[in-house]
Amino acid sequence: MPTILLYEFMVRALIGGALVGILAPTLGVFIVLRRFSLIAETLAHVALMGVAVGLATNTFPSVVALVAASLGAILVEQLRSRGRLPGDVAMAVVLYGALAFAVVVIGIAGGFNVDLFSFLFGSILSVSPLDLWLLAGLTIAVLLFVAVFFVDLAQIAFDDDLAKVNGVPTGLLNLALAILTGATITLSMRVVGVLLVGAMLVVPVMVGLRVARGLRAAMGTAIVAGVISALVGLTIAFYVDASAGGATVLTALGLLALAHLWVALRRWRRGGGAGLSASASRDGSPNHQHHHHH
Amino acid sequence: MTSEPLPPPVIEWDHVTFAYGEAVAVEDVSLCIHAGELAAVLGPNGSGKSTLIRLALGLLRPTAGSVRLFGRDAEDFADWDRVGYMPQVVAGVWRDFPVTVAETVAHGAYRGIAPFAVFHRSKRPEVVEALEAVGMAGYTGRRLSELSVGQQQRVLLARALVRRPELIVLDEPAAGVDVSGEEQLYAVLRDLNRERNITIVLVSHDIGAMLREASTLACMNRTLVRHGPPHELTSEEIAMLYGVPVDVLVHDALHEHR
Repeated sequence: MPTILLYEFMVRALIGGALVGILAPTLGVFIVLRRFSLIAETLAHVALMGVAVGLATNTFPSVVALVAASLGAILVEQLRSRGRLPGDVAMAVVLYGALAFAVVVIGIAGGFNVDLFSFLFGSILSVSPLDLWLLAGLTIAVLLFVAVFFVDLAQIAFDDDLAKVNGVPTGLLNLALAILTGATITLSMRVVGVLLVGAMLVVPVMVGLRVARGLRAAMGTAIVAGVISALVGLTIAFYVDASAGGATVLTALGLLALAHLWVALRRWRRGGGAGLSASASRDGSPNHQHHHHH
Repeated sequence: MTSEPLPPPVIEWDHVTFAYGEAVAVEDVSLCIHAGELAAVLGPNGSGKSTLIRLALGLLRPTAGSVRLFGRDAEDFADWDRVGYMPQVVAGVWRDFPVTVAETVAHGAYRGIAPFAVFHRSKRPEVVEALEAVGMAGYTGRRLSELSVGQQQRVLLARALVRRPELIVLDEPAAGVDVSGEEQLYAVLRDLNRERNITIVLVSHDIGAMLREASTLACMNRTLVRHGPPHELTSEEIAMLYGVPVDVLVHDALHEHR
């Protein structure tokens, strides 16, 4: 058995990482496609505010963070859907409000400590059995939610009005998506940290969007990319004693670079076979590609 | 001979006013579109024509007045099987959206919540049939973002058709399309209107095309300026609507998409 698996904390970190790798891109697909990526960053800072309050008052930081992130999700969604503020401005207000509040609470409570650092940057040492159970439960809930409402969420992401005219209850589903995103960010924080958790909702998804032709394939690819990033990243973190979140996100970015390279290579090979006329580059697409692989 | 009774109303705007905050987009419009019409809502940019359509679909709530869709208040309307909608296609907006042509149309086949539809096949008979009606059946496996704007518009029209609606509403269906793409699209719409008796409402700023294609014209410039068959519309009225002589306008309308 490799040394890495002899440590119980490391096994927990790897399982936790794999669950985050499944969870974050599953929701992230719909968030990225709606050009709503900033919500991950916003809710992460709202969760940080919850952590700060939890640490300062000695009440379960994770639980306070979970409640805070859910309320933050509802607030952002309300501000956005009522049209009171443009989506990005609404999120900026909530993000900086939460961060300012967190900083004030941390200051009053006596500054930074080790616990807070692990929340900020993620840590392979900090994943507890309780965190794992919560992550596993949330993973099941999210997979079920997306399996049931996949087409509806896809329609909303594609065009909100079109979804409404198809009778999709867009307000309710957007709210559910925002709350699950808040929960995902809060629980993923233990592994990758507040500052980088947003990247797990976005970067693996970009890998999927780059290489896949259909929506289901894109989500599948994003999940595979998410899990690989977490497992490879955490292993690197273990051996070189690096930050868990940093190593994971750098691995995900590496995969994204590979995806771009692969697509470019595919184009180049096709270009060599099919000629480079304007009509070929416009009309000759995946249907044609397969012929050239044989 | 007695005169034929009028077909039933499909969309009725009754003294409708709508304002975005302080800006009044639609002012006191009363208009009725009946079954079987190929109705065009015509007007310059910012004349409130898209707003009028969004009010009809219950996407906006009128500030004053009421809108009825198939006799029901548009806001409470739930029988979406009867209505197909084709939004304006903006070039490049789905560039990063990974969705195939078959998936796009298949999503339109569901009404309301579609539990576990993720596990259904996309290429089903009704999907292929709708794509055949718009001449796009050969493209099922292609990614939507790889198609031209005109092709994307026809795919969205297939999506609007897939549940066999009685009414199809289109927002600037020919915007950004070349002349041949435009002609193909209008040919499909004419066919749907005449052969399948589908009521069609389309929003356009293209006077030339609408004078040729539509059976009734509603000219908007915040208020309803004129409503009636195209041949009753005088060039003075069009000039009044746009503030420019009509021959210039029709010429422009015919050429601006080249």
